[in-house]
Amino acid sequence: MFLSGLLGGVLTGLGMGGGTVTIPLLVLGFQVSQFSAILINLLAFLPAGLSALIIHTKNGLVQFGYVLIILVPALVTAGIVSWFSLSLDVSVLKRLFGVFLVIVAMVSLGLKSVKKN
Amino acid sequence: MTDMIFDNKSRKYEKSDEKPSKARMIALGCVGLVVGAIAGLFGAGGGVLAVPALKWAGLEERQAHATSIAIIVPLCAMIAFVYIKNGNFDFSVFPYPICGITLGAILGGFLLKKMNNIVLHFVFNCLLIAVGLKFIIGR
Repeated sequence: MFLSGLLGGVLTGLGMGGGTVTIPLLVLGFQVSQFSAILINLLAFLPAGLSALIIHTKNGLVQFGYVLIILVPALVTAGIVSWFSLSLDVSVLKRLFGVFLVIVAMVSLGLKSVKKN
Repeated sequence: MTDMIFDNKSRKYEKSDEKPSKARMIALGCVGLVVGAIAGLFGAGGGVLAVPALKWAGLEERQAHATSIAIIVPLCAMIAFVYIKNGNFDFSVFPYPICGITLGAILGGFLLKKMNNIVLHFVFNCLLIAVGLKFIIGR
């Protein structure tokens, strides 16, 4: 499980999406429940995210005006939806997650091919 | 979500005092609603939407990445809090993958500077589609 985390982390650091890698790895590879995998991904992001945030802030890259505009509404919906998703049937959540993965991958493929032209 | 973390170069940016227009602010607020909903539902994927939205609003690539992290960190913390408060978890398995992910992210960040492969990108996304389909089918 440590190794799968390591693999997920490497792919994450390589810029290939974070939770989109680690959550499937944990769920499919180790039969971790979807909810546990989500929480593991969230907790794993915090130390890395925080340290990156400090560095970026020092470099003046963070535009705090934009942070508030997006963060405040995001916190509201995230609170409601995450509370709701815990009571959701796991198989439904998994299907939705699958759809989400496919969409993300397809958009990502599409963008790359557009850039080439 | 950590995909934009470890590529820090110590380049300084000018702080832009330019404020986004009202229409843009409303649009970004709506983006925020969706970002929160996606992150809340899947526990992942907030940055996928936040980064292009910020670029659309006029930020440079690196500014957009940094700003999206500033949005995602508190968002993650809050969702994790909701999960821990309301869910039922066996925390004994947590340390292994968390340590692995953190170490791996650092490692990947170093590798990032050396490779930028279109083929790898293609293979990865095809794999992601396959994994997504597996989740949809269910077994």
